[in-house]
Amino acid sequence: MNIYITYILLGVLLPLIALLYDGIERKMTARIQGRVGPPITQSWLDFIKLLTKKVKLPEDTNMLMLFTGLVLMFAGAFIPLIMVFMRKGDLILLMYLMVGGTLGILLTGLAFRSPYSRVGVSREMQMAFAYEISFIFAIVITIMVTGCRTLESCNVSSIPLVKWPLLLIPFILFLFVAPAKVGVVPVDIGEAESEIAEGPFVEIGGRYLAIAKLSKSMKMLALMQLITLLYLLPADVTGIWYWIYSFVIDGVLVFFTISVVRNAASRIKIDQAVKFYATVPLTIGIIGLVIVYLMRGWGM
Amino acid sequence: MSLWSLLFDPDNSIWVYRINAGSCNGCEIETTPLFTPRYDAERFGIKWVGTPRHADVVLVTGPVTAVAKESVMEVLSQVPDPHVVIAIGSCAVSGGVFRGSYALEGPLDNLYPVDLYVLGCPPKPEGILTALLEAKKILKAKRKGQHQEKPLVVDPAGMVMGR
Amino acid sequence: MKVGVILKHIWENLFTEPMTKKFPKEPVQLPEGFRGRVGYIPENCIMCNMCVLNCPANAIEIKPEEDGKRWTLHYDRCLNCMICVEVCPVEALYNDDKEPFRVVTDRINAIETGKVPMVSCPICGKKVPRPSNTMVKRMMKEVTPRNLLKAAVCPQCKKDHKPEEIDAIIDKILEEGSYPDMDKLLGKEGLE
Repeated sequence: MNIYITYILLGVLLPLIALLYDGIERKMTARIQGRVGPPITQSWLDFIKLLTKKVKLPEDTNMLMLFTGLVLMFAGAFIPLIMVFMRKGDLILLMYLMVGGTLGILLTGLAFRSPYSRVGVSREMQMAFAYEISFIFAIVITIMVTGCRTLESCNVSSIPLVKWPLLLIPFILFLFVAPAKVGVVPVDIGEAESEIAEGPFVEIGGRYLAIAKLSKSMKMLALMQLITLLYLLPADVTGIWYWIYSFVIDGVLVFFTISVVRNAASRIKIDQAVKFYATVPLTIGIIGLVIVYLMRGWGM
Repeated sequence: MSLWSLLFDPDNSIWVYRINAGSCNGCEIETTPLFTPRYDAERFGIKWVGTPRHADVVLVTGPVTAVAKESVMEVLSQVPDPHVVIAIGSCAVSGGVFRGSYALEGPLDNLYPVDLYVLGCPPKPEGILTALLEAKKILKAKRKGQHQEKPLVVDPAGMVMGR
Repeated sequence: MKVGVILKHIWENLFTEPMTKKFPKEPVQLPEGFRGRVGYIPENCIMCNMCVLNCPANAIEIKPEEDGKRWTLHYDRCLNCMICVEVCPVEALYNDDKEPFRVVTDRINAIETGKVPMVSCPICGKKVPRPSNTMVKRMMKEVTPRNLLKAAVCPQCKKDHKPEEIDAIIDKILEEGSYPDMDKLLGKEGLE
């Protein structure tokens, strides 16, 4: 009985914390740009505001596709978030769920006939093809190095010290993939606000947009917590210390992988982004996979 | 700001969409600095959006020209309720120097109810920021259903001065 | 290295004061020669129509009323170009930068207005506009009731009477206190 109460509590609190992290990210971005910035509860206020607004949709909206997309998008961010914070579940399942979130964005965009939405979906799809392979490589290498598939045991503290440098390869891959997966400025080509007006989300408003925004911030927190859990947990801490440690490290990761990256670079073109993801992270991934495979063969 | 308004007040989040209805770009030049470090409207929760479906506040600049009228009305009809329309600059408010021209479909408030007017040619960014902060109160009234719908204006001043 | 430059800026910005103006709490800093709104001083106005003719936006109008003339500036049309201030011959208009912007909910009420009353000629009693303070100052050096009365004499009476006669009549009026529009002439009444 106790475990259900924990899950319900987490299901309510973690989305709020995810929105708070989004607000912290906005505040840090503002400070980097020399501005005052919004209060850190701003994303939360935006969420409440979107819930109070009336919804106006085009007449020829494919409602089935829209709802499927929104549900997939929400599930692809909410379930991984609960999984990584409870340290329960399968790593491969988590990978599929996070790819499912991207699929949700595509379906949401395809529910409308707006050209902006279609362009956004097309770009999002190209980006997904480019970066998801690196994401899969990172998870496969992690599983091969640590030799386990569940989130409970699959971390850096469970393997001998000699193998730690090997996990540097998936960690670097994760750092490359994180901005694209979350959708921040240098590589958020599918959802570019200023060019194609948020791409797949151009026609939705009100509570539907609230779900989309919530999913985005939950995806960010889930990804950051996944990186923390897999690579940045040097000792097996549990209980309240695990939570405190996670939240602090998540904040640092958000700062370095999201805020600094989005302020240091401007949005690049889709062909540049695809070319980058198809060369640098993919090469690192293939080389890492070969190294890990050979070392397994030698009995390490 | 109280803790309540920091946590639960939906009026502290304003998403702004901008329409150019035949403006000379002077008002645009004064509107964009709102989101630069110098004025930083984001500290009040004001954010720029690229589509009318996400907008709470619509800023209209320029006298509504005959060419722009159809697009402007289409865009305004797609903004979900509750929303506030702000006319920025002399042209959008009354037609300004172009008042009475054959190419105008009249100032905006002859076509669509306008909630706030920012006077000036062009107005200062501080003026636009003040209008956006005023818009919070109007949005609050509209959410509670206390706001009275404004009637359309049939430019009475334009009738008086036929020169 | 360009990345190094950007990272240095990021580091600097994080640990310095933000450059944002604290606008609603602190007043607006205006530059030198800022063109704010137009201020109107009805005491100086001679209703010469120069501002009406020169206004590029036709924002100014002068309308006759029962007891005087009304000057109106429609702020919803005003361009803040200050041409009216330049062409005004009697310094009745000035650049008032106390209010650098204005936000209204109803544009028809966004007007600046003033009224100059009619006074009667001290000799024949015909109605003439109240003489401008600036004109009196330019012609007779200082603004006194005597000079104002002199300026209020209508053109026909000026032709018919010699200057000495006018002076005598005005002396008599001032002694007896029999002039009916003295308050209007001194600006205590009728001016808006």
